[in-house]
Amino acid sequence: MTRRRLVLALSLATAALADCQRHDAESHSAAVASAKPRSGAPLLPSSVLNPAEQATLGASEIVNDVPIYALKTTFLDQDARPTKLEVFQGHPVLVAMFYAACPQACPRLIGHIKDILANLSEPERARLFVLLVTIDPENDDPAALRAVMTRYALDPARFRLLTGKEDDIREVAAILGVKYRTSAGTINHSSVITLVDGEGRVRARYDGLADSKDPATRDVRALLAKR
Amino acid sequence: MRTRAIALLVFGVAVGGTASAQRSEDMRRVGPATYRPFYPASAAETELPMPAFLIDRVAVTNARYLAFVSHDPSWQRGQVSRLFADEGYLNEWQSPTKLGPILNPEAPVVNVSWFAAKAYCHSRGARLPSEAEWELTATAGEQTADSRNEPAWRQRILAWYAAPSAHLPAVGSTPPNFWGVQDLHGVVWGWVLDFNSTLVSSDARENGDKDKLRFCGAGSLAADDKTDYPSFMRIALRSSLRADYTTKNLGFRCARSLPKKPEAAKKTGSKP
Repeated sequence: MTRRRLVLALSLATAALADCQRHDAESHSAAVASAKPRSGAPLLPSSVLNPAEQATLGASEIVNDVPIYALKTTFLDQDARPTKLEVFQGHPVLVAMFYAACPQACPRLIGHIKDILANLSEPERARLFVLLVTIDPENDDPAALRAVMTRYALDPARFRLLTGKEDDIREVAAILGVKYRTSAGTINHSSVITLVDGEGRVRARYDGLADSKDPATRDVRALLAKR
Repeated sequence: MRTRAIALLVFGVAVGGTASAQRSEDMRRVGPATYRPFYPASAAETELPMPAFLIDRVAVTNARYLAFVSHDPSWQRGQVSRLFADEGYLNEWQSPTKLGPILNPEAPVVNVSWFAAKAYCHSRGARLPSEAEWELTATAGEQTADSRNEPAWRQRILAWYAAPSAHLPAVGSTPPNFWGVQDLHGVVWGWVLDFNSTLVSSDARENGDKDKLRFCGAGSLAADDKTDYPSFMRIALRSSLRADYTTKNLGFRCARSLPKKPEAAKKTGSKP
């Protein structure tokens, strides 16, 4: 009888809480969301055990226990090669969304990822890969993605930049819990870095604008050490 | 007549009738119109010109969704990856391919995820409506294209949001709005393509922590009309959703863009 009201009330409450947590985490890292996945692979405990680092995002915005590689969509990479999310299957991968014309957040986001890579030893680095998916497919064709590779001096052996149909891009965002909205020529978006394991399971999510790269570096190391 | 319409909206009573006559392309043309978003993306975007588009007259029914999954078993309950739909997916159906005796085939399909709704629309060569399209369509009352400033109309919607509903009525149970579209308020909530676009933080790092969109409750500061509670509630609901979520009050309808006319594509050049 009152189920609708209940659902709505819960939704409102969830929305309020989720957004408080997210915005706090982004703006002043007030708290580490300790949300746990409903079942299956837990997030790496190191992220939760170090609340002082405060760069890890909650897990409630995504499905945690299912490989994201269930999404079989074919995208195009910077060299216009047909590419699926699972291209680096078998290895840990950092996945993030960005766009080429992004003025501030994306340089920080990409810088964050490069810092994580730089923190690794050479043998570690050789086994970590990065997928960057554009949220601006209308403007970011493979040529634009190639320009991003050059501008940020991204190692083509480590990085794949993907573009695709707008519809397909929104599915990637849905899976990664990335929100975005076009506004006055720019795109507002959440800057999330997702660490997935060799099977494509999400192991941790980080605020790509956070100052500290230590939690992500430590989690990547832990994941690499398991193999 | 007016009173009866209100009653229908409040209680969501099925009046039966023409729902079974729904054909696969029973869509209505909406617009062109100026859309005034409740929650503008920026100060410069309080009025958005929207080209005309087509949208389903009513929500997709159980019967239509059953036909879809019968044709595409990959979307049957039990076949769909957990990534694309949670455990509640179609859980009121008797079996993956049977509605059972309780469900009304002409009631809106519910317990469908965003991925599932999207796939259904895609199978028709259509798509989910954008939030702007849905909201534009839903701001229409029976007489006018934008009824948001009519307190009685608002109150009717709020009354539905608060009203209990034991069983979903057949689609087409509420009066057609200005555009001829039905059931936007009074039956089920609906998925939109860009449900995950609201309440994002700004990219402008220079604004730093003072950026009001970053803070909890900022939606109320940035909103266009602070008394438009129905819009608040829809935004709150959408922003709490995840693409795999299913609930028994959330269905969908499909939309389609109209081919651009050569005249419309021509710019006069004088617009700011």
